[in-house]
Amino acid sequence: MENMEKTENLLELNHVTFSFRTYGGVVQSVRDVSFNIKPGEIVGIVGESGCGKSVTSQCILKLNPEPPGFFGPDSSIKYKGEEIVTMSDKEMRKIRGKEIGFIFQDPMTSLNPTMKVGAQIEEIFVGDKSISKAEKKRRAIEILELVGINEAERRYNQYPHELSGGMKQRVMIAIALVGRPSIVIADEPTTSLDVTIEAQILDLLKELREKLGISIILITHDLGVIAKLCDRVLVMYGGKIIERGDVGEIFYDTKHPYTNGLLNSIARLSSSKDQKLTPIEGTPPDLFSPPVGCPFAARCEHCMVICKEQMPPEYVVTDTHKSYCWLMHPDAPKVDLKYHAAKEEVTNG
Amino acid sequence: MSEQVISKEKFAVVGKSKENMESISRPTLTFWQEAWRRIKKNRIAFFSLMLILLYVLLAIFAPMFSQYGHAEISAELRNTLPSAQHWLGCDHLGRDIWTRIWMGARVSLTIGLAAAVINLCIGALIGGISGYYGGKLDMFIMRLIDVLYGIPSLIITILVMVALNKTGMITLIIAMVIVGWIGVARMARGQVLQLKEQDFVAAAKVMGVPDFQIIVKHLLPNLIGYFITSMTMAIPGAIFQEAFLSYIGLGITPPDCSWGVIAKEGIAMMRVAPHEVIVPAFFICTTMLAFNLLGDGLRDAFDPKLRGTE
Amino acid sequence: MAKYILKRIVISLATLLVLITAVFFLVRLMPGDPFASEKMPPDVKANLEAYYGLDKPMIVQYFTYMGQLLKGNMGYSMVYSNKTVNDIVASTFPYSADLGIRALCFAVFFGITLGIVAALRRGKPLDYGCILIAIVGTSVPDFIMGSLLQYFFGVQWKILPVAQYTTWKHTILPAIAVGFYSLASISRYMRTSMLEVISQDYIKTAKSKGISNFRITWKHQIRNAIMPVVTMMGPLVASVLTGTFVIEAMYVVPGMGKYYVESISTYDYTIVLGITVFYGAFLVICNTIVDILYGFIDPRIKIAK
Repeated sequence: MENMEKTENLLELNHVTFSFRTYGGVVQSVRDVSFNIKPGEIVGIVGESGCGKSVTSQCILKLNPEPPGFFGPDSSIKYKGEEIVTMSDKEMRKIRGKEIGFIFQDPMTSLNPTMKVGAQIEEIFVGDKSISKAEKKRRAIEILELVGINEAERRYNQYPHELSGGMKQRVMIAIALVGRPSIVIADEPTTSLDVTIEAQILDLLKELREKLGISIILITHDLGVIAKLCDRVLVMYGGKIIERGDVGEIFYDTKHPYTNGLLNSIARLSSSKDQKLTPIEGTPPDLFSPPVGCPFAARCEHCMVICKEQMPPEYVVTDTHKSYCWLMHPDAPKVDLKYHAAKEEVTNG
Repeated sequence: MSEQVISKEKFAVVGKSKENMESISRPTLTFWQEAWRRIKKNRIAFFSLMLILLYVLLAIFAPMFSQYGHAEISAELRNTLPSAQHWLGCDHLGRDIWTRIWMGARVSLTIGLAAAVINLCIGALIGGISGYYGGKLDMFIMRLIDVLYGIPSLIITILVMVALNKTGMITLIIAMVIVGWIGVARMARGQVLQLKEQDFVAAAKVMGVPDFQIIVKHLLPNLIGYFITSMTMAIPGAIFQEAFLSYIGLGITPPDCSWGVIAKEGIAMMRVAPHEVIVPAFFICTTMLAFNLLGDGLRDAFDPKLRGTE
Repeated sequence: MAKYILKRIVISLATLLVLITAVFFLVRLMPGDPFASEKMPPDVKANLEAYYGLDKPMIVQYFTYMGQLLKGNMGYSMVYSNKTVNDIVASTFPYSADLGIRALCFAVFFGITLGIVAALRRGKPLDYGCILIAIVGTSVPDFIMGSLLQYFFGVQWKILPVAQYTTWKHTILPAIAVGFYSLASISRYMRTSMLEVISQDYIKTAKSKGISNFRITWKHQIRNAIMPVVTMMGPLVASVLTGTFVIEAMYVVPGMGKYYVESISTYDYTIVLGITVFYGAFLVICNTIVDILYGFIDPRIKIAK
């Protein structure tokens, strides 16, 4: 059904599997993940810690260390029709920073402490003889101004430790953008920042999308961030995508108990005072030996016999909204997910 | 999408499964079990440990069962090569080198171990107190340590040895400890300071856990691995210092012997009988090597960051 | 930055004062008597003692000494007649410094190179080779290293001169013997530091920029990894210095270390005191320079405190 749109996909991931070898065995961090990104859209990937969202995002630029990491046999990542999985390191270098930029989670540790901010931004152009030194500097300062750094000229000559956390993250964004990429991957860009700075950074990302027309893949565990920024959402759990759809569909027509659980665990201003926040009990599965069936089965209150035996297939809700949950099967009991958890009393404190 | 046929019973709701919910399929090991597992797995470290134990046992028993005394002089046997009677040959005075090596090992190993342990105890105590309580006391101790740390320790050790006007094991240990604790204290303070900042200690404090219990239950278990490792690494240093001091004539003096003394005497005879220097060199080097490698292994074994990885 | 430098200098001065005081009294506690060996009448001995000020109370001697020291005068030798400590230092230190600098250059250059190579080839045979050199190097005391080198290269194979310190060929063996331990510890430290840096987030950032692996290694990894190694330089100078004590005697280098060890056994107070103070001051100054240098190299220290 997506055939007609395929040509305009910037990035396509098909059946991407990525695992790590450790002494305890093979950890399957990403299991059969497929999605695509169109120009100019912001796609959110949401999930708890350890669900594979960071690994997935780093797979796109092949930033995961290989070995011990390795791609599964059917994995395919296509950027503008070119296969990334089999690319050599040299070919990858033309993609990294120039075609796809990456914003890391922790700006405090992601900048080289012994290199000036300007030099770190300009590094993208190293080896590019077509740009003069002055031009490189001009572009670095221009991008610093674009990401909202005052006195860009002065900051250009400063070291990272002389900047505040929010400013460092702006510098990280500048690094991701200065090569004029068509996609920027932001891996929890605001997790380590204050709430006020977080709002500024999110506004900045949105503004940049409008100004530059770039696509953004936003990785987060915070549905609030998703609601604010994204067009589409992928919900990941246990290394798999378990629900996908437009933001409205995910928020107002949730079809997966896990997504529902995530929604019920965030505080809303509109919540009445006797409405309690419901945590999802338990922790995500250990990916050393992922469960055979639905990864969420063990923590799911609607868990059925089939859930533990077989991975649910894709159920189409609308063209854009898909869910991977046995509850969608015609024979399954009908469950109204929307308000269910909100009504339930919290019994296990 | 092709629908498979699935029997209706499969759609019976079973709900959350409490017992699996938090299960972790990786086996959980305690701190010591994990450390032991890693040491055993690290063949080099394990072999080093065994070699050290072997040397210790030989140092205890070999001289007892030897038919020669370590100071027994024999004119005919001067500079003889290894033979069935004298396994490692004889030195320039005709003394049995095998016996001397293990007599020397008693001295060298004892000094190494004692100096390292005493340095660790004093250093950890002073550094730990300074780091844990902070404030004026810490200020004072740190200034003192800053000043003392700059003093070249070997020079002071040499002078103390000379000033004490006594040779022998105890003097050597005292001379080494007088300056040796400073480095340990600095390191211990740094470690405690780092740990103290961490949330689990703050949490314990908020809950009103008494200082003593925080130190014993929270700080010590987190430091013990580090301390054991640094002690292991300090032993070869102490053995080396003993050998050096004995070599320049300030440590153990004849007729007593240590590895340093044997090496010194051997070096003098190098051109005539090279085995007299090669034998003690071999034992000094392998011992230092074993402690270094064991230390490396222990560091990896105790490193919480490395736990659970290859 | 100025505050940081000032603090380092104040600490160093205090260290020096403590050092000189401690050494002074320790030396005075030394048993034996420089004039004991010579059969001299008691009145001559008393005269000599008066000449050297040994008849005065210890505390007076201390202040006299400190006063002289401030003028740069380290006193007369009690054994070698008519030689001042200054003379001895001036004539022997150049040899020790020459040997020390050669050893240090050898150790730093090869140590850092080995450490980098080992880290970049982690888990490969080359890495194990480097680790082996490093481990062996830290396990062989320098006097053993010195004697083995002397025996094999000098006596057995006759490739290099056995002793003396005249041509550059004569300097090779002692320099290696003195520097090898430091080389080994630098390479181990550098390797660990390199491996620590490689797992830092900013290396991933650099990788995400699409720059070459060579540049990542050179500009990001080595630049940051070398930083902590610089702090080793202070202790390193100390270890090289003590290395020269025995190696100078072994290779008949007319340096200060040889003199020092000799004067301990001849109870030459002023020489022991003078050379110890000189060594101590030298090391303290080296440490201070390294600390200040570190402040310049590591941008993080500049504004901190």
